[in-house]
Amino acid sequence: MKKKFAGAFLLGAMVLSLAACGSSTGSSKPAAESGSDKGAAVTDAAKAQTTAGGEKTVRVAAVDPQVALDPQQYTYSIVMKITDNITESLLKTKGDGSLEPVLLTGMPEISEDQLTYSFELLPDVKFHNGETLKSSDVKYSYERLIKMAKMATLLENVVGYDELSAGTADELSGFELKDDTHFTITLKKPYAPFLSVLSTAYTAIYPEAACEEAGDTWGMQTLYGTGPFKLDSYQTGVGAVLSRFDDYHGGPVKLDGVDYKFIEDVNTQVLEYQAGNVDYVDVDPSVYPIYSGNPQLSSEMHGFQPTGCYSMTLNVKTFPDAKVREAVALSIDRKAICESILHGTATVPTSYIPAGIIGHDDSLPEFEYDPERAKELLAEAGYPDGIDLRVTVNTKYQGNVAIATAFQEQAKAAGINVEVEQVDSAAWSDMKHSGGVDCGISNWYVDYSDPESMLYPMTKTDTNSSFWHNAEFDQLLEDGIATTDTAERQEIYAKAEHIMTREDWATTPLYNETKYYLLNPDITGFEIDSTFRMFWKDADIQ
Amino acid sequence: MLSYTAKRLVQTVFVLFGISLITFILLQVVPGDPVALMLEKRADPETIAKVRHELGLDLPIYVQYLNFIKGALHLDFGTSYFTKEVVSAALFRCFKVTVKLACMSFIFAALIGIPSGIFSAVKRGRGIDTFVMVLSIIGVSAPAFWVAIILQIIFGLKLAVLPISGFDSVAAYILPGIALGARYAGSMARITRTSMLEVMGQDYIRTARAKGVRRWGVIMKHALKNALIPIVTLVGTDFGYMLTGSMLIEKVFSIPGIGKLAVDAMSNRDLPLLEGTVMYIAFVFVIVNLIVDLSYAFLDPRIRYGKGAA
Repeated sequence: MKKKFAGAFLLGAMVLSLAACGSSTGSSKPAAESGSDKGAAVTDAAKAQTTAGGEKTVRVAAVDPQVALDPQQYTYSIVMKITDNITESLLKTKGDGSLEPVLLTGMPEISEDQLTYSFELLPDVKFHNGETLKSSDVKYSYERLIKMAKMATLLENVVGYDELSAGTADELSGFELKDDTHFTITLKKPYAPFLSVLSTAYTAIYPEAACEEAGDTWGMQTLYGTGPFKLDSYQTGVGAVLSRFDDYHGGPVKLDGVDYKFIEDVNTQVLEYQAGNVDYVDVDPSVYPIYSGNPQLSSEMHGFQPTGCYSMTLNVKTFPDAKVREAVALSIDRKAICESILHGTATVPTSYIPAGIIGHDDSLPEFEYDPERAKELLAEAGYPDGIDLRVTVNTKYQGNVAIATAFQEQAKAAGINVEVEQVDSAAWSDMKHSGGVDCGISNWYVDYSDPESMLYPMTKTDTNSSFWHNAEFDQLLEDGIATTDTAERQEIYAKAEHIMTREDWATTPLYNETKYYLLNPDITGFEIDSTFRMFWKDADIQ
Repeated sequence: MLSYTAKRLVQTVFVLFGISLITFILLQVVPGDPVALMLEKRADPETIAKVRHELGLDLPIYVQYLNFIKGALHLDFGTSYFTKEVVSAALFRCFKVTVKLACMSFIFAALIGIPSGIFSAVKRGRGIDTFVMVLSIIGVSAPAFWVAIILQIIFGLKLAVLPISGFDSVAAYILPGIALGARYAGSMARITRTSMLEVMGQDYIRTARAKGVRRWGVIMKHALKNALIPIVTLVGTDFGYMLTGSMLIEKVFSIPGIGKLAVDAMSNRDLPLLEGTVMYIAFVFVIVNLIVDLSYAFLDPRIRYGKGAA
């Protein structure tokens, strides 16, 4: 009897190990691909269930934000992915970059001197708690954004910003309430991107009373907006459940709800999609090559180009000579990186300001790889024997680690001896601020479709780790926001960009990426924009 | 026995105190600033200073540490910088999940590991012994995340019999339990075999056999009981490890346990959460070790903790 007992365990152990060994013959790639044939049946069966029950709920695989769902406090795109379906801003940026009113009866009227904006709210817009949207809620929300500090500078051109920010005033004096649906905002100086700013998730409108009452629990247990879905529950580590808001001012919503499931591992996310347990999943660049060749999934995989780019930033304190910075920019082979490390999902940029944004100059050539010229430049700068270069990368972006390693090899031809330093996110942010990054690889995306959002960190703040400042560039940026004529702005920003990336070489663009996601083909009307914002308002399950 | 336990518990307080001090100092030395991370996007120096003040990070370090100790004495580690969740509540929430995962993997590891070790020792030198030992080496050396992905593909996707990820049903814990338990099963099998072989060479085993006790009776009653001390030591500390969570397994299976909490706290430099988690992990190890030590007395009557001992 006991022999049998032991034998049974042995058998169990064997089965387990065989299961493991059986797959060891191939890497994870063929295993994943072979999963598709049998996985297909499962996928279809499970997908059908979505609609069979009558409940039209979209299940989204998402990364756990681990913070309050409040973009005023936490500026992560993974937060907005959820909140953009719950809360709304006064305006919305459409796919072509133009603005449309959301909570307004029409586009605001702008005074002759470009300083005063007059708004009229839609009547009878309800928040999820039943309250009606009033002008005072807008004022409250903007004042809260300033008090929360994180993204306050978005409103720095509004009269009274400085006093409110410094705590010497309790109110934003440039915001004038006329009545419950009318208000004006006065600016200190003309600021062209102002309305674009009011379309961002940071400027979402919250109901004053409820938000005040919730205090620290706002965005954790309570979050009310005027959006198409209301937040039923949010639990870090688990997920967020949204259900349709029946009193939505923007007409009937077809979906019953959106269910965000927090799945951290990028491979597990795709496996859950294959098994039909989620309808939407982002395909991380690290697993893209595994699944892009899968015929079952390729038709369900979609791509978009986010407005922004990856770039390499040089600290001008360490490298004060622009010639040295240019040499570094010339010694990285962007094309090879796009093709090999990024599996062809990225393209070599021609400018820092991405296509589709004012200031993008499409006549420019791609940034090139010319180690010979780099060597000459270094010699001219007084380094005929080359230089040592410490490249710091944030390990959160594993792709960057691979790129830095490739750069190490490529730069040898230019006489640049690259040392790769890997740090985690917290150390990365800290080092960037304190000037500890000599050469860093990072990405930047616009918050609103305006060149100011792209170039802002280069001048006002030192968050981009280069500590580069150029009086002409700064002046151009000042001119840029004070100008409303698009053609003039195009010229101004193109010039500013030229100074930054082709004269001073403080920051050099590396690549423009394509982001991929998998979407259940039964879903229509889903919208994702180039600033990563994701809207389920018009979606439906066929 | 009681005074020994009391003495050990008093020591525990000092151990925890020491660990808290070391953690605190290390966190001051390691680069990384939670505020810089929070204000990644558009912050100017004034804003950073403002937030540092709000979090009390502008206080002298010893004041910060004293504040921490003051709170810790009441099991109050403060609130997380990022989630605003009370640290002890977060720990308890994750602990509930981790305990389930730990029990699942422990049951798997012990049920597979210990019997295979016994069996292997009894059949020493035979083919089956070699086979079990090879398996145990595979179990110990196969990376857990790799085992996890293979299990997910086979049982979650292809056969579709178990959930790929999640933690809301008992079934959801089976795959992570196996993935996490595999290496413990391997090491348990090896230590059980070694320990059993040593005991089975002893005279009293031969005596028992000579008395005519049935073979498996000797193995289970006489040999195993005496071989248990090294096994219990290993199994106990293994369980301690399991209770402190497994970052990799929790990540792959989307289980919000202690491991994930600790890693998130570290990568965010979420100091209150990190201190709380470290204290929890230290506490688990100290307690598990104490229980293991106390169990020796039950396993081997020659070991007595009392006056003059310890």
